[in-house]
Amino acid sequence: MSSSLRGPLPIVPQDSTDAGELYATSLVRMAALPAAVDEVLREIEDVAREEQIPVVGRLEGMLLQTLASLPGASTRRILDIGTAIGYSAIWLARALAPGGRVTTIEIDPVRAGRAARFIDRAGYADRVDVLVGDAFDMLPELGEFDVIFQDVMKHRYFGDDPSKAAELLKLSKSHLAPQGVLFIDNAFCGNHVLDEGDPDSIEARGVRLMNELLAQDTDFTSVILPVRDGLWVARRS
Amino acid sequence: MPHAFDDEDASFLVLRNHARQYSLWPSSAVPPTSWTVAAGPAPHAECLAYVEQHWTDLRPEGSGTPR
Repeated sequence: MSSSLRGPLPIVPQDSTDAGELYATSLVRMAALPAAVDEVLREIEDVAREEQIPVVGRLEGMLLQTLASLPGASTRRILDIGTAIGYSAIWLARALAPGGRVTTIEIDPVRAGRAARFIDRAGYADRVDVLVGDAFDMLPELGEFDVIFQDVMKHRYFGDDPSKAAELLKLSKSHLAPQGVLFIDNAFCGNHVLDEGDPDSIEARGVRLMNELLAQDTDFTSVILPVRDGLWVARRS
Repeated sequence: MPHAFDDEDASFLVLRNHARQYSLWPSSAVPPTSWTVAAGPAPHAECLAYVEQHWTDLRPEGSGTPR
């Protein structure tokens, strides 16, 4: 069967099975979050499990918040590409310096609306804008960002053409401020990029191409954090 | 029982965000306060027709600039 007929790869679960990650997650769960935020995050985690909606989960959520907040007062403009139902946008909103904003883009209008409602309930409607559309159409309309988190549905974006993964990387880079940080989720593509000899899907070929380009890009200092499904952390020089 | 967001026999609202982009929302659920109710409650097909008529430019309006 040709790889293009395999359909989208299964979503990567939010819950790790790795002992170290489970221990780290248990500590993240001890973190003092505002009650409304904790309640909404739990509800999204449950909805995501039930409806097979990909969300990053507690460990990676807290990792994103922590890393995005490292520059302190200069974390003012955050772009989240691939909102789903708002889980990562909530974590990223928590990393903002006062007066900062998160812009989050979702290709599915119904999911975008659901995200907006969860973000309201978490208390972050005043600092998060949920936009609807394809990142390739939307990004040229937007400005520059200090942090970009790229977490798109790979099959929707590069399920038919692996070169679109390279295009999306280039587009994200063109909207990243100097010293800005780019995060890209699912660098391992559900482990489908790990074995070169594995007959893989088009989306996995796209991710592998994107990974190799980013690894060799001299404008970035970058590494994949091997947490969950692999998280690229790339700082622009 | 279909999920509230997928039940096309139910009544829906049309929501619009600040960038004049649209989404459908089941009338039975509380809509996000950050989005405006543009139309409805009405049957799913009517709401879809409203969106098709009004959402002609898919680009976000005025995004990236302070509100």
